[in-house]
Amino acid sequence: MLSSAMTIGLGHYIFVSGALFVVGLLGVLLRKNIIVILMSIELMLNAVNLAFVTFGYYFDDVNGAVITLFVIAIAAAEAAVGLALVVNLFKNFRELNIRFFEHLKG
Amino acid sequence: MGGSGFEILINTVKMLAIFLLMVQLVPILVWVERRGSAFIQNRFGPNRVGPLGLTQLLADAVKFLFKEEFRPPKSVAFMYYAAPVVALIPGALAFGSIPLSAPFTLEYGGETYSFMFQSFHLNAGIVFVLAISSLGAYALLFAGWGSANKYSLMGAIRASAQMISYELALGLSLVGILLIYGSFDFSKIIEAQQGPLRFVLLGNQIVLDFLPNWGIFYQPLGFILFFAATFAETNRAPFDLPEAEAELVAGYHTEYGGLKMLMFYIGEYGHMMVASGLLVTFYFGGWDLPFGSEFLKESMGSSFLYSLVMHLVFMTKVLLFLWVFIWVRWTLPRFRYDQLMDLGWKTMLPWALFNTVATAVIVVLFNSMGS
Amino acid sequence: MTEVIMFYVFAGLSLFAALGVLLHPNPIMSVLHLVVAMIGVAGLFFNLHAPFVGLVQILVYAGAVIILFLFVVMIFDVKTEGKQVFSYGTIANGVKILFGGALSGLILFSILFEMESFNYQPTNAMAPQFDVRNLSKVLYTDYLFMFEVLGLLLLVIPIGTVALSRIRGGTHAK
Repeated sequence: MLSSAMTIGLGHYIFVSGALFVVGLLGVLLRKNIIVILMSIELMLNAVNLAFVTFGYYFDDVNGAVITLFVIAIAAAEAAVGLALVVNLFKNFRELNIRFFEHLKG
Repeated sequence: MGGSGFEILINTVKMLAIFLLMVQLVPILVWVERRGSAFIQNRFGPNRVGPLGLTQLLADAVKFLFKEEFRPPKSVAFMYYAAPVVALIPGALAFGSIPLSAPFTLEYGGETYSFMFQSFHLNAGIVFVLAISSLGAYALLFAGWGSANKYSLMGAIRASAQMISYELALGLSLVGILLIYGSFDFSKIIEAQQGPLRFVLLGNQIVLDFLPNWGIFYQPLGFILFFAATFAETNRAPFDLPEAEAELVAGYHTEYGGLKMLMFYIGEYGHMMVASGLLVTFYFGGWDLPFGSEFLKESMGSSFLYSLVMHLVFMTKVLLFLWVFIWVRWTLPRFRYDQLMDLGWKTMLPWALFNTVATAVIVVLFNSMGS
Repeated sequence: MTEVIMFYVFAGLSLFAALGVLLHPNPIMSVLHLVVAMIGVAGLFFNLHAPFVGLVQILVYAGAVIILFLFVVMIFDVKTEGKQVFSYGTIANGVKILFGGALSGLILFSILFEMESFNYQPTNAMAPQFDVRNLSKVLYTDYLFMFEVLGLLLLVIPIGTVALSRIRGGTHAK
């Protein structure tokens, strides 16, 4: 493992991508604040983007970058809708902790 | 990029010189703004310190440096101090990527090296400038949140909402330019604008000798939209809602003074310079001199002197636009906030879309007939 | 050599900032760490010879999406959550962190131990395959239908967002 520390290959990028994904996943699983959960989702999408571009670069395939552009556009749309929902939630309940919304009763 | 020491030296000097050029223009612009506003409003302006009040700048600099260092007690220290620095970075980076003159060649040790007249050259220059200047909103948000003042926060939120809204119109109005010149590269766009106005109409090559081949003749609507959007992006009047002094004290920089305030000023004027540079590059031929440039080119070749002359041409155009910025600020009244948003979303965005579609159709029609 | 250094700088930056998003109790600091993480990932894109994708990443994420997050956090004045960032009780916290750590360890170590088997070098290192021209050629031919659908989505999204977040009765309603 250490011998390959000085020549960067596909594995290194995939490791970074996996680590980012895991951090995002833990954020979604553990954090209680809805806004932070949305941010963690963005982090996971970014990790996937990194994996796409990495594979595209190392296997000489332009599709990786094109898919990344799609993912970025969709992530922006998702963030907009998610934040609109959060704004509505906050206006109605004055609360952002997801424990508060567990029972889903009006 | 070669690894030659000479090349590295020249490139470093170039970067420093361009950054200093940008910073040194600011005091002059402040003077022009104060004298110009005084002229417009029929007053005198600063005319006591030195000839025409020119050394007022030095006095101002000393005043800025020696003011008391102050931070509001409940402010967030990191964000409060980061904001002025963040305000400075996007302008400086974006200005560095605009070509300020023709490339020049230098001889050293028997070899000739060719240099671009810009801090760094990027193939995706337009996207870079858009991306970097979109980061400018962080400075305002940092300042607004960091200074723990509700007027600052309201100004900051207004400012960044405005910047995000007008970024759409700004980006879309540039698509026409991209369609016509087919490149993200500033140098290629400027190269394509040399010479007299010429285009292919119904299979005939038409050359109009008396007009230069500038972008404004291809993209008049795009120019108007881009011009208006840059005013909103730089937070200048008539779109200076974020610092509307009648409502918000001074907006996001209410709590700033001294050197930190000066850095905000440099950031604002830096944005203006980037905006003028982009306007000149896209619509007014960059460093292209419409008449007599061939004579200059023949007599001087691609020497450093020729680049300097062309740089003067470029700077003249940029300064004209900077004067327009100042002129507009002191003659037009401020918009109301809902009018601002209406203008951005309901007027400029549809027109920018129309411009894109119309340009695409025209480009396809003319190209297919020409071939 | 510069690529190796840049890789470690940007990878470290983005991972550090991502951990900041996860661990910081104050949502505003989380947002700021997220910006740094995005810029770090954009730097990795530059390192992978995809400058256009990196710039779009900065333009869309750092320039628009995260500013929206910052807006919402600032307008609502979300308080620091203190010890309750993850959960309420100490035991529940411990269990969650234990299982979270186990899950992340599983994923990361499986990549790390198998890294030798797929640590390829680029097949064609010098080719500018992520050139804007190539990208757009593929985007407007192979992915044309997806592109159109994305346009439709981007039309629906603003309408939905406005419908969700509008105030009934205009701006002067209570």
